Order: sequence, then C-alpha cells, then structure tokens
Amino acid sequence: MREVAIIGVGMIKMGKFPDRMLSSMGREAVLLAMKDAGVQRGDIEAGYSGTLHGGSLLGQRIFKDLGMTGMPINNMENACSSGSSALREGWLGIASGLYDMVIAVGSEKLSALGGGTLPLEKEDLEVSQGMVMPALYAMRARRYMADFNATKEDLAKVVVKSRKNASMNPLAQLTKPTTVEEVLNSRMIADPITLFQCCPTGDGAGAAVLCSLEKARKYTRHPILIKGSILVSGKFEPGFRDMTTPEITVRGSKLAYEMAGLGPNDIDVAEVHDAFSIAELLYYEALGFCKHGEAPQLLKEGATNIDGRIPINPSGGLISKGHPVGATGLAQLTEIVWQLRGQAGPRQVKDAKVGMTHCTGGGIYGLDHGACSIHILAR
Amino acid sequence: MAESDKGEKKQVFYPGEECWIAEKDNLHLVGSHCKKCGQNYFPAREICPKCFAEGEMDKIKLSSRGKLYSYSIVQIAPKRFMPPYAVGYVDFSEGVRVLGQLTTCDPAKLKLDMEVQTELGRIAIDEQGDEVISYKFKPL
Repeated sequence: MREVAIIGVGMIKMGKFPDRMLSSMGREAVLLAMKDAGVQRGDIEAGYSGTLHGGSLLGQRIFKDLGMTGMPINNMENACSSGSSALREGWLGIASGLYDMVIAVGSEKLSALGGGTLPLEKEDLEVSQGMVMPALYAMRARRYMADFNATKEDLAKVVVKSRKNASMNPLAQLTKPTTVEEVLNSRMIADPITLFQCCPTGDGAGAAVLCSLEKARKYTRHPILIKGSILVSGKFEPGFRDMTTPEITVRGSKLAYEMAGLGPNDIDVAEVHDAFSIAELLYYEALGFCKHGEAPQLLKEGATNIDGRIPINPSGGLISKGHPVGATGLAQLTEIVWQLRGQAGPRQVKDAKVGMTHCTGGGIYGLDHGACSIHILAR
Repeated sequence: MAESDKGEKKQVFYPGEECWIAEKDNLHLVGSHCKKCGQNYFPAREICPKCFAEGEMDKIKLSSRGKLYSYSIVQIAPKRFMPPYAVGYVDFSEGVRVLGQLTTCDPAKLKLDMEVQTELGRIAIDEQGDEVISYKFKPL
C-alpha cells in the first residue's frame, strides 16, 4: 500500500438550511476542499460521496454541475459512518495505486426529514419494537451509571465542554455556552438523556482531497498523512453484550493503532462520535484514553479540554458542531487537518502532531453499531 | 385474530404469531437452538450465524421470565409508536437478549436487573390504523 496524504479539506457551516439543495451543500464543500488543495478538476480521478438519507446518486448530483463527470463516482451509505466510509474508500483508491488523486465528500440534509429522531430501517426487529437512537444511548447510559457510579451530572458535563468548544467554532450549529443545570433541565428525550445531550437535527457537508504522498509534495510542503484507515462492521451477537463496552470501537481502534504503529498515548487530539453525551464517555475508554469506568474522572480533571492531556472534540463534536449524518466523517477530518496544520484559531490544540477521527453508528439489531471508521492522521 | 365484523381495529402480529406460545398462564418466546454449536436465538432462524450450519435448527422455548439489563422511557418516537413508552433489553437464561416494550413507563416501577414477565400487548398503531400486537415485558 502507498502512503496517502490529504492536501485539501473544507466544510460548510452546519445548521438548518431547508431552502438549500443538498447537492449544492456538497458542491460547496467540494469546491472549498479543491481550492484549499489548489487542484483543478482535471486532477481528480474519482469521487466518493457519503450520505444516509440524501437519496440516489448524490455524488453525481454534486459533481455534475462542476462538469466533474465521466470519472468513477461511488455512492456510499453506512449510516452515521457514511462520510467516513467514503473517505476510507478514497484512501483505498490511492493506497492501492489505482488513482493518484481523488475527492471524498459527505453531505446530509436532516432538516428535510422534519425533525424528531433519526429515521431507522423498519425491517429491523428492534426498530419495529420502538427502538430509537436516543433510547439506545440512554440504555447504555443507565447501565454505565449503575455499573460505575456515574451521575447525570457527569453526562451533562460532556455537553458543557462541547458547547464551550463550539463557541469558538464559527462553523458549529450550537454555539451558546451552557451549564450542567441547563443541560439537565432541558426536555427529557429518553431518560436519562435530555435534549441538550442529543446531537441536533441539522444540515451540512464536508470534503477532502486525497492523493499519493509523492503527488502531494507538488501541491504543499505540509501534507497531512493518513497513517491509519479502518472500516469495520459490528459483530452480530444474539446474546448478552456489555453495553458499556462498544465492541466495534474497541476492535476498530485496535486495528487503527496497529496500522499506524501508534497507541492512544501518541494521539494529541481526537474527534470522536459523541452523538449523545454518554457516547463521548464510552469512547474515551474504548479508544484507550483511560481505563474502563474512568471516563467521568478524565472529563472532570479537564484532561479532554482543549488545553488538557488528550483534547477531545475541540470542534464541539456532534453534540454542538452538529451531526448531519453523512457529513460527519469529513467534518471531523476537516477539524483534525486544521488542528494539525495549526489553523484552528481560538480552539487550536497546542502543537498537535497526531490526530484521530472516530465515526461510528447505525442502529441495527444484534450489532453494537452498523459501522465504524477510524482514521489516524499525522503532520 | 382476524378483523372483527363490527369494523373494529384490526390486529396484526409482529414479528408473527409463530414467535411465541402460550402455556398455562405464561407466554414463552419461541426461537432457535443450533444443534451443531449450541447457540440459541430469538427470533427463530434457518442458518446459524455463529457456526454457519444449515438445517440444524431446533425450535426452543425461552423462559417466560427474564432479567431487565437496561431500559429507557422514550418521549420522542416515530408516529406509529405512542410515547411515552418504555423499552428495555431482557436477558433470558437461554443466553438470548431481546428488546421489547415494557408494560409500564412509571419510573418508580422500573429497576435494573429486575425480573420481568413476557406477555402480549399493543406496541404500535401502523399506517393502516391497525393495532400492532407483540411481546412486551411486565415488571414483577
């Protein structure tokens, strides 16, 4: 496999844009990434587009109005990991030697679905029994709180940190700082998860230009290297599973660390899949940043703050930056690339050299989650 | 149960009436037991995802009671469901975990690891206006 570099990234501000076409959001992200990279459309050999509810041929809808057609366009759906899966396939296209330069884009327009919980597949056994994503995370939270004496305040603190970081991110959807009291007093969605502990309904898009390291040197003196790129699916388990240990993330991160030849201690900054408050705590542990049961303590100590030992979600994460599902993987990547380049402005993590993006999701019976894609990046 | 002649709401069974059996006063879920590797499943299936055996499945009746692993009271849900309602994961001694609605969403009546009893009840009203009947779990 060849070394793969990222030479351009871009994302649009997340929010609700009911009057805007989804393809136009994706197209704007594509143009931002191409301009950031300084490449022409003729340089791009293939496109990878991720979306969950964006409909058929979104990649073609995005690229055709730029005249970027004729090339292979791959449309990816992997629930919340759709964008990161598109990124991963783009990586594979370059790493395998098939292409020298490709673009990955993720876009989603959740405002078109009318709010409420994310629509899930009705064919699924649990979805048909009344499972919704907040309830899944709520059940994890309840079990975690009981097993490790964690409190609802511990959950709320995730949101307080998230909003604080997002207040320094002009592209975030929810930027108003909040308090533990305000988080806990917001409307109950699926107890113990309140409204503020859920990622918002929103729209957005992100994109990245990937190329071989050799080619990258022609465009920039500071390429960001993809040291690890992993995509795994959840393992089917009909019996008991410990809901406080997200197996798909534990397994995926182990593979990503192995591939990069790095460990949790080498990560300077990470964007993790905090779709709900409890998720961020579970992922501190699953990604190896602390021991099982110690996440609330790690958060309390300030270790995951922007100036902490292992800053997590400096962008505000899914809870505040927003989670337009298919866009998320590429929005996370954009943040980490900015962090590694030292372009993150007031939320810059000091001297970040190695970063991680972790994107997982998809409510499906028998699996921890449908898919998980993890990338380790280095400058 | 078919449509009543008075034009009352029709009842439909999910996933299907073959998924449970009533014995005396107790309702038991019916799943599969793989004769080759010993794994149990609910609902029943033809191929064993664990060992890939085909045609090795026996029917198995789960205990009518299980243990509530975790639960949540849902306030926001798709239209067919009727929030608030509670969902929970129930662990059966046969090594199978089943998600279902609970018969109460009174937080005072719900506790982790409590025993629950399987019974039938309404879980949703579908797009045709029919009542969807399925297994539910009652706190003991």
